[in-house]
Amino acid sequence: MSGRLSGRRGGWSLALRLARRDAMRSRGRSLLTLLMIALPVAAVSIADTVYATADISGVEVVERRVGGGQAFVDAGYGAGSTVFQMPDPDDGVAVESRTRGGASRDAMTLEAVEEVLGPRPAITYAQGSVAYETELGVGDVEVLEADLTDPLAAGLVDLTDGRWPTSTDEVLVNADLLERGPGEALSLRDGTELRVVGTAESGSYTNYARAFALPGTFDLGEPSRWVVGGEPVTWDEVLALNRLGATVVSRAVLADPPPDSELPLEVQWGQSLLSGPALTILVLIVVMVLIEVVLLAGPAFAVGARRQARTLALVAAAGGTPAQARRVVLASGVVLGLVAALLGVVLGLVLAWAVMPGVQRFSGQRFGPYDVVPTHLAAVAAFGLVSAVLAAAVPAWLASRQDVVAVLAGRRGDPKPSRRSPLLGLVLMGAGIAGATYGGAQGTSGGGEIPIAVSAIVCVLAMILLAPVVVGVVARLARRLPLPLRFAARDAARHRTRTVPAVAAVAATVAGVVALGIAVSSDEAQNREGYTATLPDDAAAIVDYRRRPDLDAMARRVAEVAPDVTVERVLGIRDSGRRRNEVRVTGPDGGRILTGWNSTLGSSMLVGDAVPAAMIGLDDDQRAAADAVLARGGVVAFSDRALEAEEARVRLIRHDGRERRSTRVEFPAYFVTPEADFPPAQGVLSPAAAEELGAEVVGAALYLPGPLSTAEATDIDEAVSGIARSASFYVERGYQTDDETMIAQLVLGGLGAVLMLGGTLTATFLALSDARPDLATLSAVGATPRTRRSVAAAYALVVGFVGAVLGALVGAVPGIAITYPLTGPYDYYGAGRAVGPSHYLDVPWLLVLGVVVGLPLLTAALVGVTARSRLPLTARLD
Amino acid sequence: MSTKATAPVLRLTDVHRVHGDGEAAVHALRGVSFTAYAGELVAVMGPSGSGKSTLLTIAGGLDQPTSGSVEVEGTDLVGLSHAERARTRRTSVGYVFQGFNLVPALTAAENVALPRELDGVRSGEARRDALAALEEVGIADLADRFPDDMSGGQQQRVAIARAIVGERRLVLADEPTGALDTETGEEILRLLRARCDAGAAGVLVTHEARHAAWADRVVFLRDGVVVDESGSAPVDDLLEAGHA
Ligand SMILES: Nc1ncnc2c1ncn2[C@@H]1O[C@H](COP(=O)(O)OP(=O)(O)OP(=O)(O)O)[C@@H](O)[C@H]1O
Ligand SMILES: [Mg+2]
Repeated sequence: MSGRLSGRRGGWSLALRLARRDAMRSRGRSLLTLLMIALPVAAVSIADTVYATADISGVEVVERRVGGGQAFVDAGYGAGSTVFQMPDPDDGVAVESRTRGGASRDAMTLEAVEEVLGPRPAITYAQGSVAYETELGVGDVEVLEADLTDPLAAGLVDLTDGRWPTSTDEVLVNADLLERGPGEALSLRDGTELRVVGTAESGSYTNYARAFALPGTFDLGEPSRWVVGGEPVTWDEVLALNRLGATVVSRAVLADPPPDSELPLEVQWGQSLLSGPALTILVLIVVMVLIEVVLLAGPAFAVGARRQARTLALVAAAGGTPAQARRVVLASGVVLGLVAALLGVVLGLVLAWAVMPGVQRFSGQRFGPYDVVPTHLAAVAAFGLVSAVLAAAVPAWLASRQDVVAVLAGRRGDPKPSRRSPLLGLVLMGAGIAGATYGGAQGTSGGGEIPIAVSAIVCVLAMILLAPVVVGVVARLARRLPLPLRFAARDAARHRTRTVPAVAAVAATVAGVVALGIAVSSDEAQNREGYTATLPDDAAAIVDYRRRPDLDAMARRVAEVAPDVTVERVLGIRDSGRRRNEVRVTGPDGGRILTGWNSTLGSSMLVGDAVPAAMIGLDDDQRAAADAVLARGGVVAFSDRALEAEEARVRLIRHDGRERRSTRVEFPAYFVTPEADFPPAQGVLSPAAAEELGAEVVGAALYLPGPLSTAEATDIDEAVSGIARSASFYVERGYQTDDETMIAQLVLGGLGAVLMLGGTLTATFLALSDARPDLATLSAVGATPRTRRSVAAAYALVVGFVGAVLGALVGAVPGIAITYPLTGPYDYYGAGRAVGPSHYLDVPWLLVLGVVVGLPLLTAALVGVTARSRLPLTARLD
Repeated sequence: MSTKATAPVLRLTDVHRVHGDGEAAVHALRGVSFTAYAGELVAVMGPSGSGKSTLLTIAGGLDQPTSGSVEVEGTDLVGLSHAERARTRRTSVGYVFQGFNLVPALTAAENVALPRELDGVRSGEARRDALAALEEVGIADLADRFPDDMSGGQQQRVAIARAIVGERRLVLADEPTGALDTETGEEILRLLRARCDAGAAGVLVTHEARHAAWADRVVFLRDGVVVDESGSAPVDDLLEAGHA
């Protein structure tokens, strides 16, 4: 009769037809599923398209880089080095210096280039930064010098107004520079006035103040870059120039790049960027997103299959095999997946186009023309299709096992729950925990992150398998609860096919949020712990780093802008400038006692008859002991190790130009071991000791004990930088969470909330539409509309709460594990001298509480408010 | 009025069907044997819960007997795999149920073509067969309507067309007239009768003695047992004797 093969084909065409019609018949559910899959596809498409547009390497808009010529030769690395480049040097360059053996570091010349390429037309191209006078002071302008009117320069600079410069006292400026008001002329610091003859923009960049002029206008040194014309520059010629130390952007090479095998080994790392760990992490991320999308779309397919139960039973009665029934449900995944993938890509392309100008504003590189990478988009679309088919797979499998006779008799034919899958879930959970433990045990030695990420996915899969059991337990526990909760819990347990993906989607989201939350806040805890204050809290210090510091002027300005603020002077030895003092403190045995210090108070050695208040790192007892020694004319010195000695040898070296004279004296001493890695100075000399050593004592810093208000701090900061740009004003505010961490936490919480709300809401409304016959029965026996709303809210609560609790538990496993590699002690010196606790663990309880308790309540409230309280009395099962 | 053909199309021998086990076990059928020959329409009657629907699902291979044998055109369904029983339904057995017989997402013609398409027949050919079957039940003009746009009687005609499409020789109907008014119900039964006269075997489950009059024989079920069979005796005699 009929061949097996044709049977398959027939099955698919029938299945696809059924799926298409079914999708059209239940528009609401289809739309929901479409969005669930199309939105992530669109998001990735936007990112990819923006990236491709921003990326201008390769043959695209090559005229911005080689002008009207054949190639751009850049010998900026200097002759005497050999460079290795990718066909496009922007994609990767390696430099091998051969400066030893007398090779010169002289700049390469055009003659050397022409020796390789033969004589050909060329123009020089020089870039640099030049200071110019502004109304307020001095600004920097990026300048480009080239023979701008030469055909070889066409495309490097776009003239927007005026004319090209014709002599070296003329200049073009860009809009950014014009805004800062050079007006008619650009005055350089050396007094040169350049006439502005027009405005222009760089072909490549959109940021900074820029000026464009003919060669020789600014003093940019010997030219080392050229745009060359003539014949196309071949890959062999590029390699020859590389050997001379020049990189080359060749139009011909970019248009027809050599095969990877011909690339120099030195730059092949550029090719293998996507190998090893990076690829693994990419795969893990894709798998995680896939799981999330599949889980979010899962309930819709489960309800769809439920609605098709009668159809599937009829198919079975008409002689359809279980495989054919499965195909009908899978086909809805194929149909919706295809449409969603297309929709997502199209949406992504349109949105990418719409947001492009906004993104360009954040980038200094001028984007290329709108650029689409079809292979990437095909992969993203395939991802959408695969996630839809996967989301339909379990409902399809269950649908093919439904009790046909029961469905035909008008009952529900849910197959019995599997006993094996919870067991498998337990096994997987064990494996996940073991993997996470293993990964955590690797500590900071590296390689722990990937087992932990894999174990996170394994834990999520295990959780999906265990979720039915948990839902069943909750239903049993709900026996004593009020009717809406009891009804919702029972209903959730009875219809596992739709409840489980919804619960799992919420749980997977929460797991991600909790795991990342633990990681971020533990990292934060470590940073807070590792933070060392430089001054007492809310105190401030002013240090003048100019060659001739003027603390008096600073103090006067501070008194003007903040009259209520106390200003103290911190003294120290003069340790900068041409005439400077250098102090070396050694223990009684003559050994070095301190490896390093920060001169945060303007001098490496402070001077005072007591320890300055600005100096922290001593407790009260230490301070008293130190003050006593200073009063006796001694010294206080920080030392890495605790020292019991009472004397220190202090050597003072006075530098004066090339001359140096040294004095050595022994003093009574008090040694302090600093709390932080580095103390703010080597120590404190008493004035008597300083005098005996012959040290020059100067005002090192101004100390403002404070506490300073934010407004005062701002005023003083402005006043201080008004006097000297190289003066610093620092207020100690203790540890501050940096903006990026804050933003990361906000984004994390926001994303989690959106996914959780989305997952719970869709699952709830799908469940409600599926439970309509039951609810109709409820109404028929006299339940009020309020009851119906409560049932709806209760269902959302059950799904959200069970999902959140499961997710928090599952997320804690990789979350805690990752803190070991993330916040463990790092061995900076590679000498086994790692210090600090094994890891920091800070669980963001507020976040966890918000996600586990707050969000489910919020969703329940939302559902309760929005659920339709009136209900058409239909009980039709199709 | 009936000519008893020689070959049995359906033969049930000592069929038992038990749902569940232990205390909760329900004996839906206990030792039912009966045969339907080609050209014959057999009515199955009995009170609610007597096992009529169970008998029908077992006869079509949708359900498996706990013990006993079910032969359709000489093949014992009990020994067959799931897929092979599905094949039997595609090629030999047609079902008509009380209501909701049709796949709402398919047109009348597509519903009728369903068994043919599932069997792997090209859709063009399947549609030709379907149109022929629709022609036979007199609604060829409704071929491209969806079930939602048809009356209950029209839907049942489509269901019958689907049960007979592709030369299938066993038609199983479970109260096919239950949701219809009397006149439309009579029309459906006339179609079934005609199909049997054309050589098929039909089994009709019904509550109404009036409908049983269309049958050649009546089998009475009570609590899963055949309590009476009209055999070759005229149906009307039996009806009067037992249930008037
Ligand atoms: N899946 C099942 N589990 C348990 N018992 C079942 C199941 N299916 C049917 N039964 C029982 O088997 C018996 C026969 O059921 P069946 O549906 O065949 O009756 P029927 O004669 O068709 O009744 P009706 O005239 O009401 O349609 C009934 O007692 C029914 O409760
Ligand atoms: Mg019945």
